Amino acid sequence: MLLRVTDIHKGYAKSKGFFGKTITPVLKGVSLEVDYGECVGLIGESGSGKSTLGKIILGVEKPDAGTVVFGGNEGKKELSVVFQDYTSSANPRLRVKHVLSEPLKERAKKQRAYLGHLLHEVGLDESFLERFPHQLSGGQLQRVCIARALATKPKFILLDEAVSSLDVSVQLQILKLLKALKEKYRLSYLFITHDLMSVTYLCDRVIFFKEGNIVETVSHVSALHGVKDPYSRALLNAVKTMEIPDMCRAKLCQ
Amino acid sequence: MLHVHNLTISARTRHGLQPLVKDVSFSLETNHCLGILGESGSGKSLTCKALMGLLGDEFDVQGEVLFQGQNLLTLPEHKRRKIRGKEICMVIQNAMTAFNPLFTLKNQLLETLRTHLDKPDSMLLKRMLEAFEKMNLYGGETLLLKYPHQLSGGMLQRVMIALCIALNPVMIIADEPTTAIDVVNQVEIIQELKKVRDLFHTTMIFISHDLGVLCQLCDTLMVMHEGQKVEQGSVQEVIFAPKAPQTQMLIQTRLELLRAFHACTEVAPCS
Amino acid sequence: MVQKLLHDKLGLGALIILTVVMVMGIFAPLFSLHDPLAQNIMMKFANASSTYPLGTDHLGRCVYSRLVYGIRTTLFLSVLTMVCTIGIGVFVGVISGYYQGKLDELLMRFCDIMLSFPSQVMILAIVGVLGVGIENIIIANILIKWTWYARMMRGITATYNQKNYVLYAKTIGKSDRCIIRKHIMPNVLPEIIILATLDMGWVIINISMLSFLGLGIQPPSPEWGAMLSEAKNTLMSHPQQMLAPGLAILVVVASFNILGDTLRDILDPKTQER
Repeated sequence: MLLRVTDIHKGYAKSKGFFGKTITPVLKGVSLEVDYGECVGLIGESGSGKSTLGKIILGVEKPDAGTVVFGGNEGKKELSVVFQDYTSSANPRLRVKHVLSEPLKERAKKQRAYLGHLLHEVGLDESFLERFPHQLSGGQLQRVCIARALATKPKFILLDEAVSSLDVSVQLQILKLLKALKEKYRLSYLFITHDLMSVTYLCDRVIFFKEGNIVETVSHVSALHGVKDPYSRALLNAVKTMEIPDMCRAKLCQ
Repeated sequence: MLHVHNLTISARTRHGLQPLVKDVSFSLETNHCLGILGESGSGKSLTCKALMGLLGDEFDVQGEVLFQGQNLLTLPEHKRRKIRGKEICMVIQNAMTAFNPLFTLKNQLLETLRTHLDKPDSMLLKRMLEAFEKMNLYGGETLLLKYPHQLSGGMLQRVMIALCIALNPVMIIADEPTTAIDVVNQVEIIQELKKVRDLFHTTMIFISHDLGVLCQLCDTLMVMHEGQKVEQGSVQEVIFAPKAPQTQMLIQTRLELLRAFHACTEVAPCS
Repeated sequence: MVQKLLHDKLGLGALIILTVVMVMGIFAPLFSLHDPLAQNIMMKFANASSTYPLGTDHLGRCVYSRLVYGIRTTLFLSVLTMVCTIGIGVFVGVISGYYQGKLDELLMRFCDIMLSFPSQVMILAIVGVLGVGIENIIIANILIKWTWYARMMRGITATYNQKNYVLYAKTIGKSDRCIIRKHIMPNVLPEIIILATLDMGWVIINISMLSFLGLGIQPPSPEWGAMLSEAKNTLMSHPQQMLAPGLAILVVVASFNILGDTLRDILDPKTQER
């Protein structure tokens, strides 16, 4: 098992008076597992606590209770992340080549050749190395972030709403890229999102998340039609209603 | 009802005029719903803000916008302000930013209603509460006393649409009203908007980058790309026989995602 | 960056003025025409002439020369004060904003307490304890001002703390020192420089004010505030005595303010044209 999250509890203190504080629980006993080479989708609305869970898994926040264990090793180097807001994902004062080489430690790795290779992997060419983040489009910047995530050859990448801020056509390109990279490097993803359609495109397993709790887990994405929990059903039906109506079903099955 | 001819919007920069929307023309009949589809940066929001006269001096707007015979672009500001809100109402993208966090909803909604409707407060309140009920917002009295941050994005969006209903305009422009909302709430909001159309025969312009949402609600679709109109036609035409490459790409993208979704969520897909 | 500066005429003008003033101050003996301390009672209140470009004061000293030597005291001491204040303020503010938690609470409450005292009263109190003299008013200024900078820096650091690239650096295990050096400081420094240049005016006026009150530079050392103080005695008879030092302070303070605005534009990487 690459990642094992056990019984995470996290709350935020709301008011700190002199006589105790009211704690709002955000995560109420969350446990999940991600295996090697597996892509798990975590679906929940905004405010359900999924981003907090992501931060705890990354280690930038400490849980009030519970553990996060990475596959036996110290885990830090095997792990990387791509965030939703690409505009603040790269230091605006650094050029792309510095952004990419940040996670690399050895001097040897700070070579142009390797950085160029990373960019090629995500479909960009070497000329991007000299650019600043604000000179790139959303899709391009997100690709740079993915390239940066790949730089240390991690086993696990946390994708925190990584495609949500992008246009639909760009979303599809990035999802395809992520799929290809997963096959090539045998990566594991935890794909946190609110968008069911991107989960069905990319993921193997699906976890439904609501108000700090896991309400349902679907062992394989093809079995989504059999969800039982009312929240999951409501979400599924809502997405079905929003798709192109019945008249277009014929077009779908071409 | 609405005729837009050769609308061109340019930004005034240090290096001169930079065109953002180029030569857009379209017409809208009464009780008709036009959907404007386009990706971010295609100019769809700018076009509608220009219609309402909400663009500041940094923009240069050329062309003609005939609303019920009057050219909105050449109208003096005080006349335009009368039309804005009374005849044309706008529902914007992020409901949370539309409201002032310092005042209760009652305060702000009444302020808007007072500007456009010359009636005593008690009547305005009654109208607002009726609109709430039509939007399936129950407990209107308590709702009015709340502050914007106490409500979720979805509810605030419905409050904004309820405000539009209370003003009973001739035309509603909705600028990506469902984008910041989760899917379950989106479905409800679309249904409310459908109801509004059926009940009041309001003309609508609906902007979105989401094809699914537009198909639910609109009669005609206009596709914009990089500031230009690339396609226009009925929903059927645009979806089944798209002519412009950009439209084809948008539909293809959606179809690819949908196929995967279908395969997972139907017991027997494509049977 | 240089190109942007060249485009901004006002900012360029301010920079040139300040550079000229600095140079004149450093090479004061070269630029002044007379000994600033040399008195010549016979020539008191002389009008502007070729010997005395700005006339003389009530003791017959050359006003122009006193202005030039006054640059050293007024300007350089202000810069020294500023640098020390910023040094301490940034250090405390960044540590507080980055680590947060109990340390942050403690430091900020301390700053709150210091800030709740009216600054002028505090300065006078400290000078009263330490005694009169220029070193003491500088120490007093630093002690009062650093807490304000600490608060500002803490706020700015806290916003940058939430940026995704800082979170990313934390995820991959970069040391705190590395993150502060590489990500926090380059973003915080321009803000400091802007605040500092805008605040220079306050410091200059403060030192001048204290000298005006007789607590700072002691006569006969030339200092712009002290010159204003002496000129006030002859306000009715010779009002033009206030002009030279007053305008000098005005021009320098305004130049710093304009420079601060210009720096804000220049240092923003998004507006860098390449």
